[in-house]
Amino acid sequence: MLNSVFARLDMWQPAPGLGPVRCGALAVWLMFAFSMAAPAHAASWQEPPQESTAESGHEDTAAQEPGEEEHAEEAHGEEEHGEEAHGDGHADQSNMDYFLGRDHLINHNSDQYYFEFISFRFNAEDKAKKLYIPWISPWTEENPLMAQPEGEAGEFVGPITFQPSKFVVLQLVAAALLFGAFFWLGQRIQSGGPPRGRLWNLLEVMVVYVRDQMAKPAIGSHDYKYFLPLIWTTFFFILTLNLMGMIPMLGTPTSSISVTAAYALVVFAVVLFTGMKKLGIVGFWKAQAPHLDLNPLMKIPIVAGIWAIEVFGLFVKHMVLAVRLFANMFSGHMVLAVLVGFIGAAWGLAINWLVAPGAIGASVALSLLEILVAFIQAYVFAFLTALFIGAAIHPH
Amino acid sequence: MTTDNLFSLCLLLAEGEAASPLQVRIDTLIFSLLIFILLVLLLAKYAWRPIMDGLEKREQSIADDINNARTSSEKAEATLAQYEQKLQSAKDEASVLVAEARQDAARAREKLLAEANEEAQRQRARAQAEIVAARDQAARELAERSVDSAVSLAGSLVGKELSPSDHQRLIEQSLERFSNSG
Repeated sequence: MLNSVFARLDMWQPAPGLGPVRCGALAVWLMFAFSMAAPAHAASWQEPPQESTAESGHEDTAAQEPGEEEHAEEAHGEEEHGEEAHGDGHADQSNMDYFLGRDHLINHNSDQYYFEFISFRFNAEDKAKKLYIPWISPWTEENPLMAQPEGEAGEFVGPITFQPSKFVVLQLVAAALLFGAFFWLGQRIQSGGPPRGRLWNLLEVMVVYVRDQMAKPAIGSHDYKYFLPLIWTTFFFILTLNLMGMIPMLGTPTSSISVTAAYALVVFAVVLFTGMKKLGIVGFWKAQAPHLDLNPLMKIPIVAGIWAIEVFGLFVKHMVLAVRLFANMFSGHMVLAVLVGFIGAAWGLAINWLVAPGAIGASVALSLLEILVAFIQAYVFAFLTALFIGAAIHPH
Repeated sequence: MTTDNLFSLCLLLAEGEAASPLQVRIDTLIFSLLIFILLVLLLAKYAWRPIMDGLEKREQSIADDINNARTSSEKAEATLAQYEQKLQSAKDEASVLVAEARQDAARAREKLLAEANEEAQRQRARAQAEIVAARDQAARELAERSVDSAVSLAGSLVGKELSPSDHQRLIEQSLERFSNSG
């Protein structure tokens, strides 16, 4: 009993060989230590005098707890205090307004021209470092190829610059990763022999699952082979993009409607094309309304109405395909951003002693949920793609 | 202020520099479209095709292996049954042979015994016959001799010669008496 307690205590010291468990424990401890260090060093730069006096008593107790890094951080805080006078927009905003503000949260979850890096020097001035993607486009935001429309329409259509953004770069990375992994898998499978090793088994289980549990039942065992490449790519690409959001400092390309709309457009095009190829252009559109045995007088308005609803539904369900994925990923990461934002919002306040551990615990729990959501949404998108294709080939 | 901010966040009503999350960037959309289509085509050619073929090949070979195993096990079972049958028939044959041999042996023994018995019987019979003959012979000789001597004695006493026919009759009478008594 005591031995196991000592073994656990021993784990907190960085040993020469750092295993994954020790690294994880170290990371959690560092996060905890930094969050604990917050009130002390935040007090050193916070401007309102009445707050700093209120915090001063607290500063001493906080200074004792987290240890040496905290002193170093405090020194940083002091330096920053000097720079702060030259800061730009946010000097008059409180932490709460900034970290839980709409702009910060939405910018954090949206597509940008830069990657955000964590800065432990938590304050509104310098809360993150930005690594800008080199500008390769001949057009800029100020001088775009096509300007953002004025007024309300501008909310929904952005300017066109053709500058690859963060999500474009991440998609390229994900595409390269996928291509490497599945090219390798293809070579292995084609060489014959039983699956060996974790990666091979892992990928093959998912590949076979998508084929046998999604594509085959939804499309039918005759035609599924033609659409399998699309379903496989859809599932694995969206899964990779969803999971990218779980890696700090990257982002979730699928939390942008522009990205998911592109995939939904491809699916829509495939559905229309295969449906018309199979049933003929007229046959496909005719098949949207079911055949009814009715009195002709009643039949015409009823069939026309059903046809209009079905065709409208055809468009809507592909639009919803894009919106569902985007909304799920965006909202999940928004919740995580709000949770972590609580730490920033409570920066320099005594309540952060409760807020920071709570927020970290909650964001760990929700991150686990987010991993589940990443898989579920990839599954849903790919399965619905298969279902729509199946419905287009075999109407009613 | 906080509730204001959260409220504005939820309803997306606040004025700010951040674009609406529902804003579509046409350029990002086109990039995504190109990346996705290219990825589908590249993967289809270099990854999905080999994976599909490889999986099918493997499934086919597994199905073939199972079929082969089934047929060869069936064949083995049939062969085993055949051999068992053969073995059984061999056993039956052997037991028949043994029984036959036993019967033959018994028969031979009986025959031998019977022959031996017969032989013994015969020999005994012959021996008895010989004995009887010898006795008869002896009796006859004795009778003849005694008759002869009696006759010669009587003749010498009476002085009368017996005719040869009387002589013979006397011998037979005495022989009869002898054999009746004997």
